[in-house]
Amino acid sequence: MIKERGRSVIIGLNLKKLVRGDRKTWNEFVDRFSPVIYAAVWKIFRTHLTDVNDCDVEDAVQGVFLRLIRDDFRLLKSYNPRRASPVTWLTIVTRSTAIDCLRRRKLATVSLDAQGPDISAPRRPTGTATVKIIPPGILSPRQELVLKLIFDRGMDAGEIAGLLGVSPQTIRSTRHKALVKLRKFFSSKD
Amino acid sequence: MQRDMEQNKEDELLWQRYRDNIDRGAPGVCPDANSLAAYLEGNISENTLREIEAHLAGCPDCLTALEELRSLLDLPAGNVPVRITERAKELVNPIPRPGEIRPLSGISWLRTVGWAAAAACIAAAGITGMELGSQVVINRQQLTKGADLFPLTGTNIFNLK
Repeated sequence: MIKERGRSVIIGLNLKKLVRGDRKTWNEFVDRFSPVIYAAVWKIFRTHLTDVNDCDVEDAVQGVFLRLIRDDFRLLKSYNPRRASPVTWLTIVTRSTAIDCLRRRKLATVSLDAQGPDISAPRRPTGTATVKIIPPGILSPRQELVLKLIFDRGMDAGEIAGLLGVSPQTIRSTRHKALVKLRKFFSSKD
Repeated sequence: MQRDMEQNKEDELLWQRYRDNIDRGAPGVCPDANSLAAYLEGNISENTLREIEAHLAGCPDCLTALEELRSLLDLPAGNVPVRITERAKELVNPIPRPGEIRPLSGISWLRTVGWAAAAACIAAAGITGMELGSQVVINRQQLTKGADLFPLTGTNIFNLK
C-alpha cells in the first residue's frame, strides 16, 4: 500500500474514489482482486462440499462483491490499508461470505460449526461460567495457545509455526517454558 | 524412546489439568477483519498480539478460521471466467443497455438538471466567446460549486470530468 498526499492507495487504486462508487476504479478493483476471491471461494467450497457447482461458486463470488458495496460501501470503507494488504483482508471477507453461503444453502456434508470471526460486528460468545481454581496469568497467551495446539489438536511444531507465523524453534522453546511453568505451579500446589 | 513417550504423556496430563481448571473467563470479542488481517501479516503490536492469541486460546471457531485462512493465503490466484467479472462490474454505476430507459430519482433528476444547466452555460459562453473573438474564461469556482451541489454518485449522463 502506498500513501501519498493523504490519500490511501491500494496498489495504484484510489480507495476514496472506490468507495464513492467511481465506475472506472470499481472495474479496476474487480479485475485486480476477483482472481483472489474466486480461488478462495473454490477452495472453501471444495473443503466443505462433496460436489462443487460452477453456479454456486459464481453466486458466492458475486456475494462477496455485493457485501463490499452494501449500505454505501460500508464494509469496504471499514478496510484499513495501514494494517494489512487488501489480499489478506479480502481473503477474510471471502471466507466469511462463502461460509455464510454454504450455511444458507444447507449443502454442507462436513461440519460448518466453525464459522470464524464475524467481520460485520464484534460479538461475545455466550456461556455459563463454572468455578475454576487456577487464576489466569500462569501462562502467557502464546504459551497457552501452543500447548492447546500441541495436545488438543495434535499439531507439530512446524504446523504451529506456520499457523502463528513464527519459527518452529520458537514453538519448541515456548512449549518448553510453558511446561516448566506448569510443573513449578503444580508442584507448589501439591 | 519409551522415556520420551512417558514424558510426553506427563506433559499432556499437566496441560489437561491446567486447561480444565484455568479461570480464563470469556474469550472476549472475536477480532475484526482488520485486526485478523494484521495478525496474519505479523503487522501488529505486542499488546494486540497477546490479546488475539489469548482469544484464540479460548475460541475454537477463530482458531479454525485461522487455520483455514493460512491455507487460503497460500493459494495461487485463479483464472476467473469473464462473465463473473462482468457481473461484478455491473454492481456499480451500470451502463444502461441500448434502449433502456431508467427513471431518475428526485436527487438524480436534480443532478441531471444541474449538470445540464452547467453544460448549457459552458456552451453559451463558448459561442459568445467565439462571436466576440475573445478568450472565454470559465468560472472554475462556480463550476466546482455546482459539482458539490450535485455530486455524481448516480448514473453519469454528462461526463464533465
